[in-house]
Amino acid sequence: MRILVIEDDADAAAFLVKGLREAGHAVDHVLDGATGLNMAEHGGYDAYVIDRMLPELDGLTLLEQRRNAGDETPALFLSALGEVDDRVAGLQAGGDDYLVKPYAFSELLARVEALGRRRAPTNTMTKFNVGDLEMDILSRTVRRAGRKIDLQPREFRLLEYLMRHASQVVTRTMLLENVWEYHFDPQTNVIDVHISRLRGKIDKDFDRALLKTVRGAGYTLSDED
Amino acid sequence: MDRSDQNNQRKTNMFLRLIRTTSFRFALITVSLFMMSVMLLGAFSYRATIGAAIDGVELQIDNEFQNLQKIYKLRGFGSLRGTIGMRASRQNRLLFNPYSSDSLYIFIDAQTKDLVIRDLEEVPSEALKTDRMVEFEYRRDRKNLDNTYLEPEDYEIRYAIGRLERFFNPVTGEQEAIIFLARDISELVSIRASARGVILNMALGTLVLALLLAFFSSRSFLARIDAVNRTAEAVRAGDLSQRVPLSGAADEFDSLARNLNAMLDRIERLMMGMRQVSDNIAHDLRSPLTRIRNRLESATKEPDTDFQEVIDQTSADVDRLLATFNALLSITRIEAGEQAKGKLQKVDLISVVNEVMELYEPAAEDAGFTLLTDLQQTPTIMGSRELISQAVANLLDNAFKYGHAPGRSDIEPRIEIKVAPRIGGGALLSIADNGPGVPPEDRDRILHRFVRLGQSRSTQGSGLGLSMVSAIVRFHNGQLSIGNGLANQQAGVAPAGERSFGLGVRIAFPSSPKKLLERIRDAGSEPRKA
Repeated sequence: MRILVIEDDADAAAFLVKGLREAGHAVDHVLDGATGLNMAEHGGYDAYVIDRMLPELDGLTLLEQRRNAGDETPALFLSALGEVDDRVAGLQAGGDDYLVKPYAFSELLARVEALGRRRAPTNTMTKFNVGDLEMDILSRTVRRAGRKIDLQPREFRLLEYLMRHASQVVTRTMLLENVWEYHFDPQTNVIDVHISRLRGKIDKDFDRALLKTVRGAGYTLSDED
Repeated sequence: MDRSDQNNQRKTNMFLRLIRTTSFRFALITVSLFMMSVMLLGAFSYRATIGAAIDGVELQIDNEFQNLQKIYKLRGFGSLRGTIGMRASRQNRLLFNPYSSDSLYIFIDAQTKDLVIRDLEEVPSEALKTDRMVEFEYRRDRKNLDNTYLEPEDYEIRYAIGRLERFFNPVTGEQEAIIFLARDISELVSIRASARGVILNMALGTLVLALLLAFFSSRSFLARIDAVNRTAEAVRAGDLSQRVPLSGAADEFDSLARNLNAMLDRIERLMMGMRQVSDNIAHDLRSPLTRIRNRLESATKEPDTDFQEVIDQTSADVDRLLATFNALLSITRIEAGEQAKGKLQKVDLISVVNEVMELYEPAAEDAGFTLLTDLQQTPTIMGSRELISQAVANLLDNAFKYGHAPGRSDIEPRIEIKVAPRIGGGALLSIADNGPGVPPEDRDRILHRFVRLGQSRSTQGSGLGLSMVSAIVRFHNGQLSIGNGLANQQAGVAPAGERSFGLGVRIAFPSSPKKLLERIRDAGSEPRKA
């Protein structure tokens, strides 16, 4: 993916850029909003990572201008402002995701990669498959190797999210935000327990595990090893 | 400068400040208006009484001159002289005379300039210069009217008004006589003097009273302003416990004082919170940071370090620090979030609780807890779904952590969540466990930030869970109470005492104001029953 990082904190940005490059992405970095807008206008990016508070031109305005110009490149806001209202402002300005500082790099990477995938038309897809696991959104059925698997509604939504982001790392926070719509971190390992329940249903009776734990980051649903 | 000088200076300052106060100035204006009205009143009543009486006397003199002119024209000089002679006091003291002894005459023969008839020694000098009425003093002896030599104690000073009039021969046009005619007005003059005194005294009395009033009212005004100022100064100097004293008069000053005090209360609470937080941050963030630093230092020194392990431990520490940090930020924002209250939505507590339960149920089962629910329909409350969910989640986190009764395998750990309507509107939400509970004396304390009771210090956690719940409840204008939870002993095993219950946390949400308005409106629109 080609990623444009607009972040005025040079140290934080250097770390971010290095990490994204190591994950195999091509990254451009600028330090202020005006330059960022200029770079974005030249196009060709798969995702933007924008700090909300930038010199010259703030992040919200920058993205609003791009959106008005018809640019639909997915964008993730980084911000120290983390209240629900702040998130709403970020999403209203055209942001696709919102990450509050301080954040773990693994969280950011997972979210940026999830954004890149959003360009693929998963939103309109009604059938997914990972390996021999199949999901039909319309009939709300899940099969593995042709065998029907019964899931609770929430388990279904959890699996759906994982399937839409197959082969990507999905963090616990992403699951909590997207499947349960909560923006706080429970101190109990509630997500892990849900994942292990789901695993018991889709992986337990099969040789090959599809739902894998990614150490220090989260989970991924994939057929690869 | 010695003490008395300072005292004097302070007194002068006090005086200067006093006369600069609004109330003093207002009083001064009032005083001036009052004085003016007293003076006007005095002037009017003077004119209406003494002035009128003197006018009357002048009129009598004018009338008598007209009479004398008539006599002179009809009968001539000799007759005029005779008339005056008849009327003049000296000769007629003891006779009946329509012109009372108050009348004084001087008849001057214009040819010879002789004072032919006279009641007075001479024409007063003021009267010689003018034809107008003049007021003058004269001496009158007490004893013998004919006695020309008078001892000082034998005469008295009297007052009179009078004027000259000249008499011209109608044929020749020659001046033949000059008559000075006066009336004694001593009684009027003494009344006039005392009336002037009364008016002056009234004005002075008003002035003094008004000044005293102004002085005392400004002083009490100043004293109360000073009380506010002193409090403000003390607060500015850092003593936030100072409050403006109330006078108990329930006036504007008291309501001002009450408002200021309420404001100071709030500031003090916020400051205390801040201070507590910074103390606690210092403590609770410094120790993991020290741990990380030590671990890294020893890792660089020791040759055979398992770096992976060091990194994993450090990452875990940093994650915990971040979690603590985030929790602190959230609490601060919730507490500062008064402005977000405009955006509260209708919240159905049952669905909020069900959603959180759905998230926690598998984890509860894994931890060996039985989750019980008793959810009754409640009035909708105004609130934030996210925050109430977080409060429930925090309470469940806590119950999972501390709800196990240690060493009691005979007790099945249970957590009960209840939602019920609150008497008088609003809703109640309670979460109770049957764990070891919290002793009553610690129940207030556990709501504070970073407070973790002795036995819980060893478990993982920031000590912020309950203080966040407390902040969320305050955000909703609700009430949080910590009490007994479920019984943690089987019936009959031991007598029921305080410690035989787990922890119970109860949140009371107020009824939404909108609901209240609707209810009032509904009540108003109901058809009246006879």
